[in-house]
Amino acid sequence: MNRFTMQRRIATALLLALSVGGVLILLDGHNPFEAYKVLFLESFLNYWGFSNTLVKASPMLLAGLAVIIPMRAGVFNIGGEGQIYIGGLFGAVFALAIPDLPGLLGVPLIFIAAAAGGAFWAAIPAYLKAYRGTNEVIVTLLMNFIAIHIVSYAVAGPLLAEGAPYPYSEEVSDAYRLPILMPQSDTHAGFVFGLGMTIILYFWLRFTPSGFQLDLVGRNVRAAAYAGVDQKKTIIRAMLIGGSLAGMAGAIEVIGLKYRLFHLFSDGYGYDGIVVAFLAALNPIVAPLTALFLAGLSAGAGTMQRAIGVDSSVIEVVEGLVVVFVAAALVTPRTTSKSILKLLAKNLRLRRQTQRQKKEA
Amino acid sequence: MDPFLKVTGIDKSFGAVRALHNVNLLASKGECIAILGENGAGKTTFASVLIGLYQPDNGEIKLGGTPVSVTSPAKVIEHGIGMIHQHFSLVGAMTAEENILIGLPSTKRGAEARARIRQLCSDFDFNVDFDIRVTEMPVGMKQRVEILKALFRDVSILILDEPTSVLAPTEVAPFLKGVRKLVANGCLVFFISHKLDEIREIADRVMVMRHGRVEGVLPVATTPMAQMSALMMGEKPTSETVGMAKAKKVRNDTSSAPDALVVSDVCLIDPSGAEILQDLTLTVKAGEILGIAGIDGNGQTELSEVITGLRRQTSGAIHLNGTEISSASIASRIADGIGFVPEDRHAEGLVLSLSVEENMAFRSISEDRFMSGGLISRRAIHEIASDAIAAFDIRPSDPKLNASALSGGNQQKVVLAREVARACNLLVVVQPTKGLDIGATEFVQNQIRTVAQSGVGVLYISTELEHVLDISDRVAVMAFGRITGVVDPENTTLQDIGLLMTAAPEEVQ
Repeated sequence: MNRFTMQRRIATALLLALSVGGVLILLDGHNPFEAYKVLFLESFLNYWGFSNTLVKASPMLLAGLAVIIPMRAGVFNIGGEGQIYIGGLFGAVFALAIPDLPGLLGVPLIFIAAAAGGAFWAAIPAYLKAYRGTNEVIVTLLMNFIAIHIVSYAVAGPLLAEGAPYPYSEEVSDAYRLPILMPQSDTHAGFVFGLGMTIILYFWLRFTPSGFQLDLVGRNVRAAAYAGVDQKKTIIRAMLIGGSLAGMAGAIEVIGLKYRLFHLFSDGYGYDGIVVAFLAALNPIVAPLTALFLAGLSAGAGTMQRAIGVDSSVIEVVEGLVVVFVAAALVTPRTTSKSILKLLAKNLRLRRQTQRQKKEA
Repeated sequence: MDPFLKVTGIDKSFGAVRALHNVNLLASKGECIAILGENGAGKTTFASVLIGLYQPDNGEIKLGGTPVSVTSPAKVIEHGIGMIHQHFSLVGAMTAEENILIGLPSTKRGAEARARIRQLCSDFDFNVDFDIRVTEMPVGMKQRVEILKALFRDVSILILDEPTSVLAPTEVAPFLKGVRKLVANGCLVFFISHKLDEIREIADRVMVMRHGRVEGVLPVATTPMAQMSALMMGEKPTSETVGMAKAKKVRNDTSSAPDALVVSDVCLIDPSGAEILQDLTLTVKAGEILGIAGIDGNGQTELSEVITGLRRQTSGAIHLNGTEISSASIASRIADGIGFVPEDRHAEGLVLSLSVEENMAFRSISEDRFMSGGLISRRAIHEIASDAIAAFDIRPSDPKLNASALSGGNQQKVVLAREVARACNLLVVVQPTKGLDIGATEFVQNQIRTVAQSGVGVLYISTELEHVLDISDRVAVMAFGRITGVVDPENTTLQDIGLLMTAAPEEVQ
């Protein structure tokens, strides 16, 4: 499937998802156009709503890029969630261990530490995939759970803040906090950082030999080998980049939003990243838009419920429908696409599970 | 009494191609008939008609006097016909017994059935390990499991499609022994092969096919090998066409030119232990076109991969312009100016989802001509590709079009244009005219000649013998992973080459 057909199919899928969601809103006794209008206005044109959208879009964008780059090399990284957790952990540990650096030095170092953490977490499945032929989907997926529990252990044990009623760490020092872009709100510079990464990655894929060759491996492994590209090294490189990006998303959550390392701090952003990536047809330059769209849906759901009484779970259904229709749009007679369909369905289940876990906690 | 199997007047066409043309055959039980022919002679099509995979356009198959029409795999089993394909249809995660009993009702899979499998095994001296799964088995054992599967279903006709091509040399003799036992037990065995020595060892009669026709059904014992090979290769082309082909050809005198490529004593043993290349030695001089003729699957593809670095030889050395490159990476061989037109342009030579211009560049994207200021220059790629599209008359001529939108001939031109532009020391081409029409073929051949005239050594590997003879300065014939002879295309007959292509090892030395 060429990229144009892919984009057209994805647009159709989006429209279908919103239409089916509209029918549900109608069944709920409300005007779907009104509901979507409120949703859109609240998420994108309201100061606080848009702030909320941006806050959610930041980790989603980086997590989306963390799926796009490995996928362009033919590797499906569904371990973004775990890489976010380990990245957040590394970033937080660095920030708490060395609290006295000036911000201009400390923040980049925290990002580097978080990137290293995410890359480390991605390196394990990458090595197993490249040199042992292990299925990366299963390994990255299972490592998500390990990572979540490692962070839970860390914040409930060695990193637990004194007198904390809930598993979280001490606050990071003020100097390390990301600047707030919109006064009075939570909107930190995370999304701008994500935009920067987007542009770098776009140019890297398009204008450097190593980026071009990474893409080659994903498009046709045998042709890449014929062109002298080392497939194993490329897989590892792609996964390390993906892991770093997700790791930095973790750092953004810690030093941009919560200023502490929390138990279960990522709201399934790693899985959202998969949707962001496929909605963007694996083109990094489109990922900011799809991240904003997805973040807007989830940010506006609550306000929509309050404003016109549409149950916000309808929006969860729409999010789910987006996943299903996009997956269906990407199905070609090849088995790889079929497995993508299965995986996206699984992704939906997992997200539910994470949310349930969180509620229980 | 009617013969056991009577095939009358079978015709089969695929579009305009006549794959089978009035095929007749009488065969009886307890006979082994070899089917001999070049690629595309109709051997496998004939077998496929017998097992009902294809329905013949005309003609009739009678089994034991009654006409049969085999329309489904279930009917095939009912009629007692089994075929062992080159690619086995076994379930890797299952054991031999599970594979043999697959698809049978559970009432027929009990202890009795298991005992019968063991009995069949000992009857035919088949060494099968019943404790391991099929994935863990060597190829020869997998094949025996396939045959047991057929025997268990009481086949009276067994078709073996190039059965020894997957076997290691040591596995061949026991396999042939097993087949002989089958025949002695009254089975009618068809043995598709192009290996004359095996045919002579195993078969009672040989059915020689060429261009979909049966050229003759001969008793093996009294027919000389040379006659079989002559029948298989057909008449020499008329002197007129040869003259025309040769008139166009400018042969280069390269006897004093330096060696571009020297391959010495290269062996390649695959993981299953089969010897793909055996002590292979050849030399290509600068400016010379060395043709490699041979029947498909005799190690030609692997030879090209060893030279270009896609495979690593087990032993032996490769020199390019006097420098050893035996263990150089693919990338460094690309940088050394080895151009390579691989056999499978879709799977290997092109990235179909990339544009034509990107396809012109992807094999050496970091070359200076595609870069500017350390970054890939999309403009340079576009300009270089546009020039090549004009020079090679590639249509449609839009460099931004996906490679998948081009016809096969134009795709091949893209690959060739890219590799010709890069090859400054050696050009390796494999099946460059496969699937091309006459015009495109001629164009490709002319481009390759031009490259050679500029002083580049060319290794031209093809199973299309006429093309090899037409373009090459010298022709090396490959069989069973070895060079069985080097001939001058001016002074040789197709029969000689045919013999070299099929000859048993002892006849060559």
